[in-house]
This record gives sequence, C-alpha cells and structure tokens, in this order.
Amino acid sequence: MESKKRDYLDLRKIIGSLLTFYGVIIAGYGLFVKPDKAHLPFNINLWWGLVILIVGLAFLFASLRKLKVDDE
Amino acid sequence: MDKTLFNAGAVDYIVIIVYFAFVIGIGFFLKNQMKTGKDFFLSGRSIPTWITGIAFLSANLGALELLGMAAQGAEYGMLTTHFYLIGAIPAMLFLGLYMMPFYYASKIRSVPEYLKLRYNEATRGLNAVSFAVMTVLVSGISLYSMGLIFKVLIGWSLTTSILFSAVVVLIYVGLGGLTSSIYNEVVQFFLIWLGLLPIPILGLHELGGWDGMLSRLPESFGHLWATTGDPTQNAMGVSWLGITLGLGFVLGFGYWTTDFLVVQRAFAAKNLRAAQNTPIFATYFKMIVPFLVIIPGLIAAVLFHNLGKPGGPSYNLALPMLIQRYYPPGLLGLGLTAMLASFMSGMAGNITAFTSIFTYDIYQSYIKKDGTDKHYISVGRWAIVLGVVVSIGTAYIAADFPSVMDYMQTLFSFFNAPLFGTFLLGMFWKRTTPWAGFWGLLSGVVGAIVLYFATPDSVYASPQAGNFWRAFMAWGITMLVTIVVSFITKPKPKEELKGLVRGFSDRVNYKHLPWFKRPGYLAAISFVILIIFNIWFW
Repeated sequence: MESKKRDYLDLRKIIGSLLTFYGVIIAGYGLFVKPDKAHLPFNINLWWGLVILIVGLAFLFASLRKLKVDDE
Repeated sequence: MDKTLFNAGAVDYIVIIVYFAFVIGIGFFLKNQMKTGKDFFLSGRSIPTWITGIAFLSANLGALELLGMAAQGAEYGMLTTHFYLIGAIPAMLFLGLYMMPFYYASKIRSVPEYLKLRYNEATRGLNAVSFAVMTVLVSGISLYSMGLIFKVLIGWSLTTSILFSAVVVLIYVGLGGLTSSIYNEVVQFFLIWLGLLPIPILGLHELGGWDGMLSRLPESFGHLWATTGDPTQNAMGVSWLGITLGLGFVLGFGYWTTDFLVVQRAFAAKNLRAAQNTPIFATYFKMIVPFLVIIPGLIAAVLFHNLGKPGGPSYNLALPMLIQRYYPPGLLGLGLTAMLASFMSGMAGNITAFTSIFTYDIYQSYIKKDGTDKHYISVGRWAIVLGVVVSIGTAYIAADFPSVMDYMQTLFSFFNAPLFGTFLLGMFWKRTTPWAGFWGLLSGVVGAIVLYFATPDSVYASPQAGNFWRAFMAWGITMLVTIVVSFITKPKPKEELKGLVRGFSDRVNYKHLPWFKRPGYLAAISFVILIIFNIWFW
C-alpha cells in the first residue's frame, strides 16, 4: 500500500503549495502596489492574502505529518 | 466587442494561469497511476473520507450553483436556503444511513447496475439512457453559464469561451479519470471558499450587518418558513407543503440519493463506513454554503436597485457585480479563478458520471461484452471526448431557455423524481417485481414530461412551484404503477435479492467504534444542527 499513502500526501501538498503561492502573490501585491477600491476602507489584498497564506502553510505543514492509515 | 465588467491586470492573469497549470498537472501526474478500469472509473476504491466528502459536495457546487443560487437569493431571499437545508440535508443523511449499504456492498460500479441486479436488464437500460441524456443536458448548462461569464468578464465570444472551457475539462478528466476529477474538486472547494468568502464579509460590513441588510429588503426575504403559510406572501409563490413534499421530499431525495454524479463520489471511498460517512460529512459543509452563495444575492438585492428589472442587469450577474465592486487586482484574479474552478468541478463531475454510465451500462452491456480492461479504459477516454463534444451542442440548447435554474430543476423533475420511487420500493419492499420496476419508472418519466407540456404555465405561481409539484406527481405515478404491477407479476427469487433489499441483507454493526466514527451519531448531530438552523431563521 506504499503508493496509496503517497497519493494522499500529494493532494495536501498540491493544495498547500497552490494556496501558499496565491497568498504570497496577493499579499505581496497588496503590500507593494496598494491597489485602491472605492468601497473598501482597508487593504483587502494584504489581509486576505495573509489569510490564504496561513491556510496554505497549514496544508503544507499537515502534509509533513505521517498519515496514519485507518482501515476498519 | 461587448463592454466587459472587469479590467483584469497582469497579476490576475498570473493567478488564473497558475490554476490551469495545476489542474492540468494533476491530470498528467495521475495518468501514470491509472492502470485498471477500477482505478479509472472508481478511483480504485481507495480515497479517504474527507476527500470523498468534499468531492461529493463540490461536484454539485458548479458555476450554476454559484451564479444561480446568488441569483435566486437576489430574487427570492432566504427562501432559497431551502435548497440547501430541507432540499438536501435529509436526503444526504438518508443516503448515507440507509441506501449506501445496498449500493456499496453489492460492489456495483454505477447506479443503473444496481437496477439491473435488483430489477432487470430493461430497467437498467432505461435508466442508463435517460441518465446519459440528462447528464449531457445538464453539463451543457454548466458550459453555457461559464461561457456567459467569460463573455461578460473578459470579453471573449460565447463560442470561444465554451470551446476553451471544454478543452481544459477534456484534458484533465481524460488523463486522470475519476481520481483527477475528485482531486480537482477538492482543490476547487478550497479555492471557491477562499476566493469568494470576502464578498459576504465585506458586503455585510458595508450594509451594517445582518439586521442592517434585512431592514432594507422586503419582509419575506429574511425568513425560511414564516411567509410560506400563504403562497401569495412570498416571492417564490410556494406554500410550506409544496416546499416539503416537492423540494424536500421528492426533488431533494431524487437528486441526492440516485443521481450517479454525486453518488459516484461515495463509491470511491475505501470501505463501507467511509462510503456511508461521505454524504454525512458533506452535510456539515453543505449547511454553510448558503453563507457563500445566498447572502451575496441578498446583498446584491440591496445594493443594485435595477437588478432583475426590465433594462437592468440579469439576476445571474449578482455575484459578478459584487466581485467587480469589492475586488482590487490580485484578489480579482482569485475571485475569477474561484468561479472558473466551480464551473470546472460541475462540468467535470457530469462528464465523469456520463463516462462511467456510457462505458459500463451502454457500451459494455449492449455493444461489446467481453473486452479487456484496457479496452474499456480507452472506450472511457473516448466517451469523455463524446460527452464534452455533445455538451458543446447542449450548451446552445441551454442558451435558449430564459432561466437555466428553472430548466435544470425541470430536468430533475423528469428523471430523478420517478427514479427515487423506483429505488425506494426496490430497496425497502421485497415484493417489488422486476417488470414493476421498469413500468413504474417509464410511466413516471413519461408522466412528468406529459404533465410539463399539458399543464398551462398559469396553473403554478412560479416555474419553481411548478417543478416542486410536478416532481411530486411524477414520483406518485411511479409508486402507484410499481405497486400495482408488482401484484400481477412474478417477484425475483430470494437468493437473487441478497444484499440488495432490506430484510435480505446483513446489518452492519459499528458498536465497537468511537462515536465520532459512527455514521448514526454523525447523522444525528447533523440533523440537530439542521433543526436549529430552521428555527433560527424561521
């Protein structure tokens, strides 16, 4: 069952790396470019980008843990 | 070129392109692991519960769901939430607790295959063909809705958008089969949430919170049940009885318990308990989706006064207009990606379901019975091509209907509502005979179609009210005909029904497991939360 284990790890890594990348891009864009939007009092890119980054890192962190296979 | 709603910048395109690269990458990665037909069509029955649970839900969280439910929220208010609560949760729990043991334990690969074992070849053929037809019609709706969005957002032509979207789905489903589809559905689930969650938050913030928003909407918009005593008092024109019987009982159960598109995700689970827990886990997520899709509709109804009025933008644009209002470049790319992702998950779900049915229940049963496993995988890949190509055609059929949401519910009332009657009797009444199943199903489908064309529109207050009642009548026809025919034809011998009918099956026992792993407990908790929600938003 070695190969199966590897598959699940990959899914967590996939989500983790995609979200981490998005978090960095969006938060970075908010930090350096500071785009303005009429209806917003704050820098949504920066803050939401950080939220995404945290979720992404959490997935990456979870993927480091060994998966325990629980059957029945 | 038409004017576009958004001006996407370089950063937005980077976000979108990276997403497509990931999706196609997953397809290539999984291609090498697809060795047997079971791998390709059932994911080798090896996927953990949290993944199948999310995929179960996400296969249904298509573009139509996002745009359509926001549109319905803007049009009907909180009443739309019934599609998530009474229209889905009880049925999902019932599937997990009572129906999944028969589905999973009989080792079937598709829903029609169950009908063959329980009834006969004819019933299976009827269901396989009608499901294949319905799936490509629904998949055409997804394709069309997303084409519309591309057209409004980026300014591509409808045809370009449809073709582009079709090619991407073709690549990743064709390479990785069901696993690819399921993996992407899970990725999409998180993208949809992270990409769209700021909208209800920012919207409620701007309007001064929940009460601030409701104070600027008609009274019936804030309630689930309070205005359904008298159908003229709410925007949808339905009574509590129509909601409960039509939507809650027949349409909800018909869709969630027999539609192979969703049930297939549970078949991929690694064991019976995981298969049972799949829809039960999904209910927990399902209950919070309205926050993401219906609340934005309510916000849009307050902010954009000409929405849905003659000359104003269509209700379908409620969500895109909010994205345009709140999202700066960067986040805009993510919002667009989330919508694209939701479209792809809906479309891919339909295509994978179509592929399995076509390969197993039509090709293998009627065209070539004794091919090798490898042969069927290759047929499966061609079926994907076929499904995508036909969907491009049906996308233009969907374009001719004024409301795609009503169109879809109409299709469900034709096909899913009668099928639910057939399953209910088949699984829980030993006496139901093979030919009773066939004639019951056929007369239900034909009855629903005849009712649709024979009843004038003016009978029902709204197209949705018509769908609710027609679904209920179609189900009634199926039940009646099946019961009557059962008494005049010969039932199957007991040995052939083992594991397929309640009473001839071994009951599974989970007493040795902790409560949080047992389907019964998880379902009970979900049900209690459901009741709390209903009282809260009464």
